[in-house]
Amino acid sequence: MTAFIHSQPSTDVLPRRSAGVAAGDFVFATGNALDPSTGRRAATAQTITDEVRLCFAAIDNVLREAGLTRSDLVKTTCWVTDEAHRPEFIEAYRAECAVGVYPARVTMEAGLPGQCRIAIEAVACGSTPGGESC
Amino acid sequence: MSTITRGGPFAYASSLAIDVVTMSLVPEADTVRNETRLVFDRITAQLESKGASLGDVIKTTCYLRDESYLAEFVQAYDEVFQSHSPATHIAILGIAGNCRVQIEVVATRTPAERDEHAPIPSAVNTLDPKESQ
Repeated sequence: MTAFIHSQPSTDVLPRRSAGVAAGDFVFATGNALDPSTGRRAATAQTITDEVRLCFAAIDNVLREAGLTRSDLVKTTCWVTDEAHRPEFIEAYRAECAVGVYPARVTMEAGLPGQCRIAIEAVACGSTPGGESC
Repeated sequence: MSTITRGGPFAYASSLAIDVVTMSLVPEADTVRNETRLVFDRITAQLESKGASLGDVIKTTCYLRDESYLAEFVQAYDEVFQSHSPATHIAILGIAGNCRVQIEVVATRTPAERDEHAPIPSAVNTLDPKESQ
C-alpha cells in the first residue's frame, strides 16, 4: 500500500509534491523550512537551529500521519548551503534526535530553493506485517 | 554502474540527458524544459525495463546546476506528474558535463511482486552518543 502525505501545490521554486510517502513498511519524508504560501524560507527560521527544528517538525508531521515517530528513522540525507552552517547544524540535529537513536546520516553542501539553508530527507521504517520491527 | 536496480520492495532509477561518448548534453535537450522531459523519458525506459512506470514513482531527488533553472524545471516536472505527487527534494549543485538537470527516483513494486520476496533485513540504529560528522 502506498499513501502520499501532505500533498502541496506548486510554487515558483518547488513543483507539486508530497511532503512524504508511506510505502509498505517504509516512510520517506522531506523536511524543510519553506513557508508553503510564499515558497520561501519561513520567517520563523531565523537561526540554523530554528531551521533544523522546522525541518524535523515537517518530518514529524509525515511520520505522525504514517503512525511512526522519530525513533523509527533509519537514514537521513542532510543538506547545508554553506560549510559555515555545519557546526550549528550538527549541534541542532543531535538535539533533535531521540537519545541513543542516531539514524545513518550523510551531510552535503549544496544550494537549496527558496533561500533555505538546511533540508533533511528522512527514511523511517515501521513494523512488518508479522509484528517484527524492521 | 547501473542506472536502475531493484531491491526489497523498491526500484531505484536515475538519469541525466548526457551523451556518454562526448560527456555533453544531447542536442535535443536544448532547453531546461526539454532536458527535464528527456531525463524523465530515460527514467521511464529504465522503469519499464523492470516492469514499472512513472506511475509507480513515490519519491524523487532532483539536482539542478543553477537556481535560475528552477521555474522552468518546476513547470516541466508538474507536466510529468499529473496523476500523483511524489515526495520531492531539490538541490542545486554541479552535474556531469554541461547537464543542468539530474533526477533520481524511487518506485514501488507492485503488491503481487512484493509478496514474492523475503522480508527486508533488519535495520540498525547506531547507539554511539558521540555520533558526528
